[in-house]
Amino acid sequence: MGESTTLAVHRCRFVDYTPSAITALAFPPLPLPSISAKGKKSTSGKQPSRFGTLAVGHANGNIDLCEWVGGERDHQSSQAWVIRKTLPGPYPSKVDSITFVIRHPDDFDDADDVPTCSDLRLFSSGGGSELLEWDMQRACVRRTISSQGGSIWCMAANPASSLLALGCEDGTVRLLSLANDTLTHYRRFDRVKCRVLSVAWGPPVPQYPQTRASGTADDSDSDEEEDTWNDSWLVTGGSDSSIRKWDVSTGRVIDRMGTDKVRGERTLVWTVGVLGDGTIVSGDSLGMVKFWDSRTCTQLQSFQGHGADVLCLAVGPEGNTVFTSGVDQKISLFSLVKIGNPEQTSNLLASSSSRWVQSCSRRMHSHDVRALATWPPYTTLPPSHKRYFPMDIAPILASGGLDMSVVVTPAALPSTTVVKVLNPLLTSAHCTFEDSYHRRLAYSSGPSGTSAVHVARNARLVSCMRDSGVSVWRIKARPSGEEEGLAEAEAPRFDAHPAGWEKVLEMDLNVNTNLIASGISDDGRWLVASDLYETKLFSLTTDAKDRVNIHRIRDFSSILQAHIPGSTTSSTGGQAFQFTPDSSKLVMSTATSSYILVIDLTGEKPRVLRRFDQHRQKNLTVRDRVVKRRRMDGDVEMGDAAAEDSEESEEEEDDSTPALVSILRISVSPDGQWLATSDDRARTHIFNLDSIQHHSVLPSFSKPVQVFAFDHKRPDILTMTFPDNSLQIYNVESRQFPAWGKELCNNLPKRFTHAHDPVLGVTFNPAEPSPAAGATPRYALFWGSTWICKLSMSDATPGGLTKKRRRESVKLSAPPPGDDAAPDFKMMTHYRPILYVDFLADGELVVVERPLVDVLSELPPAYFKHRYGAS
Amino acid sequence: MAASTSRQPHQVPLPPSPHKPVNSGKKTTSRKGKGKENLASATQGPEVTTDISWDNLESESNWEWSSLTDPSASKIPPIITKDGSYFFSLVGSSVKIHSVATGQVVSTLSAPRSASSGTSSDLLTAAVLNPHNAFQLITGSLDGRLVVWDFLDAALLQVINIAQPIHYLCAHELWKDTVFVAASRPSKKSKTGGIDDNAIVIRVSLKPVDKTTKSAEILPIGKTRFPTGLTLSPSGAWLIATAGHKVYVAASSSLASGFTKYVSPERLTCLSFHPTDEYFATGDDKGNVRIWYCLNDSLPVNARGVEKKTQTTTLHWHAHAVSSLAFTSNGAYLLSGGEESVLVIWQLHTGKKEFVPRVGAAINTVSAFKCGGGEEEYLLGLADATYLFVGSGSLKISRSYSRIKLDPAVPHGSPSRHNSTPLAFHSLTSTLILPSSHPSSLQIYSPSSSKLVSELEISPSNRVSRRDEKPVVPSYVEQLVISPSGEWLASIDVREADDDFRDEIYLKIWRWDQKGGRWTLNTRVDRPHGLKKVTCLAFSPLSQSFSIHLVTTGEDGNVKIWGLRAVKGNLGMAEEFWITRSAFGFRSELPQWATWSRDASLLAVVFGPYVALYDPTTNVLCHTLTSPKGKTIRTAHFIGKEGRYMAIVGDHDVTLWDLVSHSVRWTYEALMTIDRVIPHTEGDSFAVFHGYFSSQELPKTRVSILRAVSSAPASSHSIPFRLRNFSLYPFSRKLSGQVFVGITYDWRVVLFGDGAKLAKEEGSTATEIASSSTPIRRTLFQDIFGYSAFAEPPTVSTSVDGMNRPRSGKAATDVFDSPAYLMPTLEHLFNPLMDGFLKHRPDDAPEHVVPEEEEEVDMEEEPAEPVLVGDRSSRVVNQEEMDAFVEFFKKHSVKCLSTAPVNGRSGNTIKAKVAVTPRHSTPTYAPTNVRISKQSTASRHDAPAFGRGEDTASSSPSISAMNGRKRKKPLGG
Repeated sequence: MGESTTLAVHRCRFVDYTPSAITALAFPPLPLPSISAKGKKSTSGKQPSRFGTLAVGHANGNIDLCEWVGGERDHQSSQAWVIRKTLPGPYPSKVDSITFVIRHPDDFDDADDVPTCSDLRLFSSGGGSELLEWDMQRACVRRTISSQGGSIWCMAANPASSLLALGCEDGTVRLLSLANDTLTHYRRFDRVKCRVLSVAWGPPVPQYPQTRASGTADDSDSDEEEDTWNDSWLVTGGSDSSIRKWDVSTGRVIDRMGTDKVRGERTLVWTVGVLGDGTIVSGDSLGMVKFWDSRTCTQLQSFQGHGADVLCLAVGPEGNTVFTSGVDQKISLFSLVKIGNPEQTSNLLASSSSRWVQSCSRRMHSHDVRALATWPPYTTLPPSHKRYFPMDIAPILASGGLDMSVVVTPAALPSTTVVKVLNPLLTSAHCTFEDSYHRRLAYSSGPSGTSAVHVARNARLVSCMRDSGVSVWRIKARPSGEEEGLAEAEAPRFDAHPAGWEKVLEMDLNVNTNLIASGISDDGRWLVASDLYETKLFSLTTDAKDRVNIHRIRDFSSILQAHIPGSTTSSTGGQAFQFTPDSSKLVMSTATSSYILVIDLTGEKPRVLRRFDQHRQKNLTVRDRVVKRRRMDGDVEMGDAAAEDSEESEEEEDDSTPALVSILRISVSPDGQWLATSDDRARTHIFNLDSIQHHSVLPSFSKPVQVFAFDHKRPDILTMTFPDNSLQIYNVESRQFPAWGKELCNNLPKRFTHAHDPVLGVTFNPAEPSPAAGATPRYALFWGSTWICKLSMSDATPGGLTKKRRRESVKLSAPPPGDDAAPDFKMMTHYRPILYVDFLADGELVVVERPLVDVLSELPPAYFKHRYGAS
Repeated sequence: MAASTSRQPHQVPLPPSPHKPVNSGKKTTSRKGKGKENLASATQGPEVTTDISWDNLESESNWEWSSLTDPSASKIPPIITKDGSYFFSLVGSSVKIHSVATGQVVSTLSAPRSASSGTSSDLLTAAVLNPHNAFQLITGSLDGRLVVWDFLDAALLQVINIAQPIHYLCAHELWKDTVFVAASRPSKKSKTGGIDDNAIVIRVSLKPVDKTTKSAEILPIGKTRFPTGLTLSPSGAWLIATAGHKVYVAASSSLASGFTKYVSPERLTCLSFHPTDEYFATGDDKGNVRIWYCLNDSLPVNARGVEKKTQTTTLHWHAHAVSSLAFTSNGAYLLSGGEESVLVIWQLHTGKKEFVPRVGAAINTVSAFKCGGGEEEYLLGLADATYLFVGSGSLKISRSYSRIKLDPAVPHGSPSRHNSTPLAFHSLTSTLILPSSHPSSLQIYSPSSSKLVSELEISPSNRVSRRDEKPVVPSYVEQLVISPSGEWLASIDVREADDDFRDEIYLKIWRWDQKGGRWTLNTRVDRPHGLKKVTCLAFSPLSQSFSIHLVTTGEDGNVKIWGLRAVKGNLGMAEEFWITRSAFGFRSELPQWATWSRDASLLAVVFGPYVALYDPTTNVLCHTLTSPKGKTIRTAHFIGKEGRYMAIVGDHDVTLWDLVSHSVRWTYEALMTIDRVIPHTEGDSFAVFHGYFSSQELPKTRVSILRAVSSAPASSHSIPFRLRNFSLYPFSRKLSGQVFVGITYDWRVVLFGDGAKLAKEEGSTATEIASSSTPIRRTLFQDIFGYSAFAEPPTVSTSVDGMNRPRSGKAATDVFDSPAYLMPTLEHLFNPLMDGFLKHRPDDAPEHVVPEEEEEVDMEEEPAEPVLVGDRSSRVVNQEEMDAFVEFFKKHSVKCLSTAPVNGRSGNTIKAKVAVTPRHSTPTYAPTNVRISKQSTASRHDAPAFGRGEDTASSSPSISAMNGRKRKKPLGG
């Protein structure tokens, strides 16, 4: 099928966007098993049914919350974790450590249930003395508390999620109580004369009920008290080459363990960990990984695991493996092996028959590794209550560091290969840490999986948002003489002329938090950027010399404030912006109050036309019937149902407290008629911008929409893509999912759905819908960070042909029989990583790339030690 | 050397029968070529013998031959006895028992050839000590036989035939009379004709069904690929085999359940089990050492189609395949070795490593053992058949014992390609100079003592040089010649052009350093004939009128004569070096060969079809001989004492010229190509070596002996191998026949010819080693009264061998070269002989121990003379005294025997032998060839002290002087 399309490609590498280094990783903990249910628990060999949220802390203060995109029952997913939401950090700040804590640990009945974000509290510390608790719903800081002891170097929550230990600059360990969703100072340990660099909790001691034996009368109400786990000790690593074991109840040092020193210098114990049997693991600045016996506080084993500082360690899910990493970029695996003679070892020596060995080490990062985390998470539990996980699903190790990408690796033990082990990441058949392939999670340039780059088509401007500023470049029109040099989309060429671009604007804004959204209008006259608290609108004018002058609309914030209820307190920050194609209107979603505002820009002053609050509704209301979340399988009727209630009064105010959601995706159809908005609870609303009215609500899908777009040629067709690279096509006008769209969505090529990176954008060729152009087939360009995919989107005669939808052309040329999806579908992988793909004009594509080499060259040189013969 | 004994031809050599059809013409020697012209045409040719009857095989005799060397390199790790005093190396089809202290072979066990299997080789592949009797050795061979030996008595106890090629053996004391065997599986269908790599691990009971060699019980355990290792854990709980990419583990408690297989990413090459803990180590093709901790894995399910893996730790240093692994006995270290010639010592606890670099050749085997109570030692078997002992404390090479480094087992990569095998004699030291394990070096071998004297590196080169799979071609020694005086050695070494560099050709002339006993480089000439090949080297013979010269011919057309020039050095020392004296050519022909007449008055150079005779002093061309029919001449030789005749050798013919009459005497034509012609040193006969029968399946070389008188072969012989290079063996004592020495295509050094027999080498036969083991363990009596009171002290302790002690003068050597009955009596002989030795004798005692075993051979020929007793200063305990002591100690019931650390049967017999020792009437019974130096000095210390009280008189002055030395030294030291 000769559908090869010729496109001119601007391969933009000038955008100097730099992602932020990863400094911390956290998976949610699993709740502690109940003591009394010990017998039942031992059977719990089932994997937690879900994969937990991965929190990624960045050096710029942002925290990304990444959700597993596989289905509820799927244990495998090509895309693995995808950024769902970004918590913007205060500007300037950084994240040093993050911890998930279960909000109400007592409410968890099933110990194998995985807490979701709503069940969790998230704490972070960022080098200062402030401890931050985050509101993950609203993506803002919930409360802060001072450590009262200087900078917080480390923190750890106890296994019961009731206490948080902070290691402070002044040499104290402070315990904060987390009971009942509070955060208060609870205890301060004795001060030592060094910084507390790392802290870990010892295994909790199950407190068996004394009442059980004595009397049975108070059985019923003593059940709650019985089920208590008492923390007995914790361990800290200090900056004076020592590891201390502390008694939690008295706050005193029980014992001190000294590490190796070089020439009397102090060794820094960067990381410590405790296993269920009390073994303490430490990693220090000499690259040593040491195992200690907590009873005697003596060293069991010591390994020169690394060539330089060990910065982080993670314990494998079952506590028989330890991963360490650090400055030398290697991730080393230590595993517990049994080597004793089974016949000879008596019970006394049973523990000595096993030993830690250094199994293997791999290098998956180009720079220092700062954080490691494993899923399923390890809970420090005494051996009697040890948690077991099924052998047939490989656990996953996540690691991150200065090279800015989270790397996930299947990390099954080689000894589990007696059964067929599933690789949740689908990287290869190998699941063991030694042999498996790792996967680099793609970063998105903007927060919450959006793109920081926007293109003003008519003005040929490219804007890029940074932490606190915006830069704008102009792409010069290509000389007309090069028209014949248009390359095919499949084999694009560089634009030859060297200075095809110029930087026209660079501004730094006075912000409270990192910028969370920005936008530029198609005609290049309007630029908008927002942090969490304030939206700033700028008008851009170009003078005769092509210089861009910028002018801030000063009172924009106050204009907005007037239209946001309770606006004296709430912010005017916007979470997403979209200009209408004619640049006359701006659609924005407010950051903390979940309103949609439609702002008219044509007048003297910007004017808010309308405020929609459909997203604030807790539930979708269909007349008086509450529609809970529905599954995808009923989409046709859902579409009909949605159509029915489309004319429902959109002004209907929900009576209860409004839901606070993040409306992260906004799209406006090319003809300016339709507006689609989607929030992180996977709800999508359609508005009519002509009448400025709510049009319809779509059924909520299992995943929030990753990106959606209207087709240029048929502005009523909305294409929605989801982070697991699935599609939905919705006809806005007729309020239904067209049959051809369903067929297309069900028959997506495997290469597309199994692409390793989630889709980040979709764009259509803005061809003039002229009759002559009717002959050209329609296609959409989907793109992720490492691929661009061309997918035919033509709506052929519904139900007739299979996937090959010929345009309804006068020629009745039957498709050649040998055709399959291949010509409709093209995957290009030679641009990477892609920040943005869009059409500037018909047949003129701009691809914004940020080569990893350029990014890494800005980093300080990585640790490298030449070895003889290693060439 | 029973193996070679069995190879000796037993049939009586047939009398050399002349070829009947050969005598076609008249054998008139009177009819000499009358042609005045030098051009001898075939028609006019005086006597043309056409050898047309090569088919008639009975007409030729098999020549006697014997092998100077026997293979000694082995890839099988040596087995070390429990007490660490001996180790066994499996070489070919025999077990060599080496003494740990000296490295020498003390005994050789050779199984009789199996009657049934005609074709299958009887190579020994595995050996294990019987875990229930430390003096029994069980060996397995490729012909499927398990043989149980008593190695002390050198007795074959039992043979079990399992009729499958055995590759590995292991045994454990939990199973009495049972071994585990990895054997090739008899493949039912011979697929693709390749090596079938299927094997089976079976348990074999050593109890035979009555009177047969069949085993009573064979229990199969599991199938494997071709195994590379089989071992039982020291606890006996696990049976491990490695094969291909897999490790096979079976719990010995449930052998019936078969193997569990674990996958390794690389092909495994070796296996070793930890001595105390339950894990083992493997080495693989890519140089990884992997430690496996899979033995305690719980195996809940046995899923199919899953590659099982397990917890391992990888130790990576080796760049090439690991050839051998061993744990030290305490389990703290792991030793690994490979092609890099570096022993790596891994400290398992920390993963740190230490190295013993540059051990000399690729390491084949590594083992660790403890000798007695002493320090642990590591025994390395190198690819060039050297055994090295490395002390575990110092990590230094403490002893090195190398045999001749020319071995069929050793791959000689390069020389086989170039087909140049240097071989020469050094008359001054009676040594053979042979190619060594590396093509750029030579080894100097003394046939009389059958010891490797030294190695000479002709051109320095990197011994281990392999990037990726392709080895770097080293330079190799192409030609070698030694001057008749023995003072000079000339060598050509070549390194062929590569992408990176041009040809390197060096002519090196070495001088024998009489004092140092080694060759020193005197002159190096770069590219003596340009980039072209040097075709021939020849030193001029000794003569009064003519100083020594060297002639070289090259493919650049030049003949160069090199002469000595003396120059006064700075210090007034005269320095001599070689320069080109003259260079000439002949009719633009390429010189092929140059030879000197015996009196050095003529130089013959072969140029294509011509032989040009020159006067070497003036370079005047005296004469030109042209080959009949214009055939290319390959070599030319002066024949006869005066060099009157010249044999001109073409591809298929030999033409004998009379140089006086300038005429052809006869022409000999052979059907086969003539390989080489070697003139005998005396007489006018010469040997023609024929090329190789391609039609015949067995390699064979034919030799015809011709004389100047006739073109009919005086005799013809055949030897059952092909030769790379050969020459006359000048050290043979028999004057009647000529003996040749050659290097065969499978890299053996053989002697052949009339009466080519060698004296047996020590330890080359199966001998009891119980006697020689006694000196190691000292008895209580020895401890009390001194060692020498019981054992015969070293008697005259003369080393006869000139090579071992080149300085000790040729007098001693000459004396013992003559037959014993011709010798003067010892009274006459003793003083001059001893004076000679005392003067030069090296001072420390241990050195003195080594040569004794040689002496044992020689002394046996002498009549047992009581004279020796008189020469001795120390007293010999007589039988009465001995009995008295025995009584005394019996009475006081000293429990010495129970405390002796020997187990089983050995204790009594050994002690009995010691007690009996004085009864031996022959004074040459000197069981002291294996002795640790400490003991010998101690004994020497004791002996005079004991003997002084009894008889101090009647010793000659020289002897007392010797005693004085003896006494003083240990006291001082």
